[in-house]
Amino acid sequence: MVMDIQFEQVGYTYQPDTPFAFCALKDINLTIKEGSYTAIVGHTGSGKSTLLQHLNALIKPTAGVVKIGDRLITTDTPNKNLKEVRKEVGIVFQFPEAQLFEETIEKDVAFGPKNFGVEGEELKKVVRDSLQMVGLDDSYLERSPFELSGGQMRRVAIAGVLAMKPSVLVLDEPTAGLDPRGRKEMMGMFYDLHKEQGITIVLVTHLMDDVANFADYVIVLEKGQVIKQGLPKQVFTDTQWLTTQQLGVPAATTFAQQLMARGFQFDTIPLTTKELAQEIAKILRKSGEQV
Amino acid sequence: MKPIITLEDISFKYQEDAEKYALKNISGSIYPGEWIAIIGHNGSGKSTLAKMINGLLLPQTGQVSVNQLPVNEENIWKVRQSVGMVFQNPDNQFVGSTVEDDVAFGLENSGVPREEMVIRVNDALTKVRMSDFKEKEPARLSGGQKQRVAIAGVIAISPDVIILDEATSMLDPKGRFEVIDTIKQLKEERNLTVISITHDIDEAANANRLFVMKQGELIHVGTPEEIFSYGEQLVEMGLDLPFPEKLKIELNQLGIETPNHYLTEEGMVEWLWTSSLNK
Repeated sequence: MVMDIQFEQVGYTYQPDTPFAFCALKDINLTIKEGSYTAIVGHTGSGKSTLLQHLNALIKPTAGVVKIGDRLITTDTPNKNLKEVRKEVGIVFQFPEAQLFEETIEKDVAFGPKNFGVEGEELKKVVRDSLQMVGLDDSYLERSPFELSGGQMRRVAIAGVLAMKPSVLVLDEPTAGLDPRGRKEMMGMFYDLHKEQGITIVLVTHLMDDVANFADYVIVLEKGQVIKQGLPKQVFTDTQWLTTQQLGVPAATTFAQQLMARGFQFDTIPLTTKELAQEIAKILRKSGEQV
Repeated sequence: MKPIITLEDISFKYQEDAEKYALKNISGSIYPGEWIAIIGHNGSGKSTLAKMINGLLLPQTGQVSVNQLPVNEENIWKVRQSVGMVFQNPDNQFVGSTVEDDVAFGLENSGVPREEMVIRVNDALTKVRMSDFKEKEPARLSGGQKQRVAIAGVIAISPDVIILDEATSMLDPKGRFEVIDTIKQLKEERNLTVISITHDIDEAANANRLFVMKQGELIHVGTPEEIFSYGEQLVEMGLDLPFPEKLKIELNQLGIETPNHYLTEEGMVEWLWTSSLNK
């Protein structure tokens, strides 16, 4: 089964038919391809979190259809039999460490798969494997999740989601509140999961450098609508548009613009520091040859 | 000029019998109107040090003074009048059911008469550009707005010092900008002394001096230029690298030599431009 997620004219209204009705999503059309690393960006209040909850049918659209693999989710889809969808698509919410509750790390990570009927040796193995994926060894099994540092607690919470062996991992600002080193390690870990296990990643973020460094597709939301989508190159080329949208521009792109204002000319606009360095190296070498 | 805060050889352990010091032999002075950024890894003692300054914690040995007043149980309320603190999580520091009630909370506790309280609350909310929201419920605000209300609550007490304990780390870029911009303005208008605990390189760049903490010790004090010239070691200090440093590393890997000293973004642009002409 191909695990693409497709939105067809999806709308979502909170508290419909009441004076408090609020339209959070409107006419959304998009596809999250199996095996992709998709970034969703947009301001606070742009509808990112509402969209995210559609990805595993935590909420159902009030208009249109969400296709998750071969399952169709509409307003009328009954809440029964959604387990399979929830197992395929794992969501890591913001500050997931706040959701830890068990007395040992082993029990906490086991909670999800146990609910899906995994038990005995298989359960033990799945817990160990998941902890290993987030960089925690067996010595953590018997420890309380509450005596860990913030970054480690977050890893345990993520292991709890990985333990359900999802094919799609949805991350809602996974590095918020971590220090730069913790952030780098965490983003590296997701990229490895994506590359090595082929997990589809959906990343909700405000950090344009992370989008430039990792994502292969970007969706921009504003006031509940998709206002732009495409490859990072396409979305980031129009830096003026990004600035007026107050979305921010990758640091390397901003720096490249300062160089261009000074007289540099680039063949393509660099998005990452590596690309920028390569472009600069080309120019410096060329000017060296001319002398 | 007399320092507003002096730290004299302070040491602290969370448990008296613990082996590890949370703070060890810290000395230093902070002057009125200075902006100090305290940086260091998680667990390096940054927040513990901040709590020493407004007496949330008292050192086991050594002496902290604020406005020449020793921080001890006797002076604690006077000290807290002059040192306000904004914490990391915008959702953990609201007590009022509306924005204005929340800002008034500190004033009520200090027994300020109602007429004056109304003036000071309005004034503080204007300063952080949140007057339009004064009757709103805090829960309905964005993260950046919540932190600005928290700052208003501190400002209403007219402190001499404001401590920001990773106050922008949970905010989106827009919220972060709003908060820092607000603090910059307040600092200018009121000659406020600012102490910000941060991992954000841009926030640290605003400071006059940086204090670098490591395992409970104050290992470096210097201007942003001095500290940023540590290059790759900055990661060990809990900061990200400034962009020009990141670019230098990538260029070096491609065999291009770069200057060893710290370059600002403008400096780096100039250096690259000159090299492209001179080669």
